[in-house]
Amino acid sequence: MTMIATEGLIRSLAAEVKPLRRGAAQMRLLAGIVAGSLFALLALSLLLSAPLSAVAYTGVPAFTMKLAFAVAMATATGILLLASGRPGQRIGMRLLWLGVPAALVAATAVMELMMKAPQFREQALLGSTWQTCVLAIAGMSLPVLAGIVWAFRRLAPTNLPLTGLLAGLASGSAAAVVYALFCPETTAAFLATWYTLGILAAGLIGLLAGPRLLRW
Amino acid sequence: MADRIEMQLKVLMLAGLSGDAEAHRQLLAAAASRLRSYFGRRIGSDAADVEDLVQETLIAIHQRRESFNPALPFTAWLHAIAKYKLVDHYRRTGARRQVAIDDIGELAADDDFDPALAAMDIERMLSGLPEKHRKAIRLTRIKGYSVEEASQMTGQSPSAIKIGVHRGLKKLMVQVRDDDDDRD
Repeated sequence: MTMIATEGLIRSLAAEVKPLRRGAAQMRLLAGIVAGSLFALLALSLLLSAPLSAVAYTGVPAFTMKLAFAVAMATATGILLLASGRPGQRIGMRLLWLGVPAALVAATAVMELMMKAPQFREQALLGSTWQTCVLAIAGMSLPVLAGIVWAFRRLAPTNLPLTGLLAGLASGSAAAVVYALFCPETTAAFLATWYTLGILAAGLIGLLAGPRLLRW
Repeated sequence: MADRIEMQLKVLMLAGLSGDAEAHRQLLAAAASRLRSYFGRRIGSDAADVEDLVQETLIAIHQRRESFNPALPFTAWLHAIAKYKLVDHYRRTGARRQVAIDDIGELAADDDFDPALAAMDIERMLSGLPEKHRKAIRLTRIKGYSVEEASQMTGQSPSAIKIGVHRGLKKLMVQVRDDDDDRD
C-alpha cells in the first residue's frame, strides 16, 4: 500500500461523514443492553411465569431490595464498561465501585442471619430456587452480552480482557434486573449469595469470551 | 507545541463529529502523518507494512469515532488506538511480542493527560468566539445537551444553536490555521 492509496482512503472516508449526535456512544450501549434485556424478559416469561407475579408472596420491600441491588450493579458496571470502550479514559480504582452494592447487601445478609435461630439459617441462604436463580442470571446474560458486543462495534476497547469482564458483569447485572421480576425469594442472604454468584458467572463468561468477541 | 497540536486536532475532530467532511478529511490526513511516524519508528524497515497499519488505524478512527469523549484530549485517544493497533500487529505477525520499554514510558505519559488541563484548553479555544457561538458549542458539543435543551437554556432557537455550533467551529478552524501560518 502506498501513501497515494492512503490519500484516496482518507477522501472516501471523509466523503461519507455524517453528523454524530452527542451521547451517541451512551445511547448505543444502552440500546444494546435494553434489547438484550427485553429478549431475556420474554424468554423468562415463557419459561417461568408472568413477570411480577411473585411479588404477591415476597411483598414489595423484598422485591425492591432485589431490584435495587441489581439496578445498582447494572448502573455501575455499565458506566465502567462504557469508559473501557473509550480510549484515553481510565478505569483504575473506579472498579471498587462494584464492591459497594455487593458489600451493602452482604452486610445486610450477615445481620439477617445473626438474627435468625441457627436452624433457620440454611433455609434463608438456600431458599428454594437457588439453582434457577444462578442459571437464569448466567443464561439470560448471554442475549445481553450479544447486545453489548453489537454496541461495541462502534467503540474502541484497548484492554480486551478488562472490557470482556465488565461486559460480562454488566450483562449479568442486567439479567439480574430482569430475573428480580420473577424471583420468589425474600432474604438478603439469598440475594447476596446467588445473585452475586450469577453475576460473577456472567463476568467469567465475558472475561473468557471478551478477547475473541471484542477484537477489532 | 504539543499543546497547539492537541487544540488543532481537537477542533477538527469536534467539527468532523458535527458532520463537517472537510474538517474530518484534514483530521484524518493529520492523523495519517502522525501515525506514519509512530508506526515507522516502531516496526521500521517495511514501508508497506507501516502504510497498511496506518490505513487500518485510520479506518478504525473513522468507524469508532463515537468512542471519542470530547471532555478528554484527542491525542490521548489517538495514541491509545495506535498503541492497540501496534500490539495487535505484533500479535498477528508474532514478530516482536513485547512493546519496547521506551514506548511504554511515552505512551503512559500520553495516557496521563489531565482532564482539567484539557478543559482549560477548550475554554481558551472558545474564548475567542462570540458569546452566542461559544455557548452553543459548549452546551451541545462539550456538556452533551441536545440542541433542543440548549435552545431552552439559552433562549436561542434550535436552528440558531445549530448555526452557532457550525459557524463557531468554522471560525476556530480558521483561527488555528492562521496561528499555524504565523509560526511557519
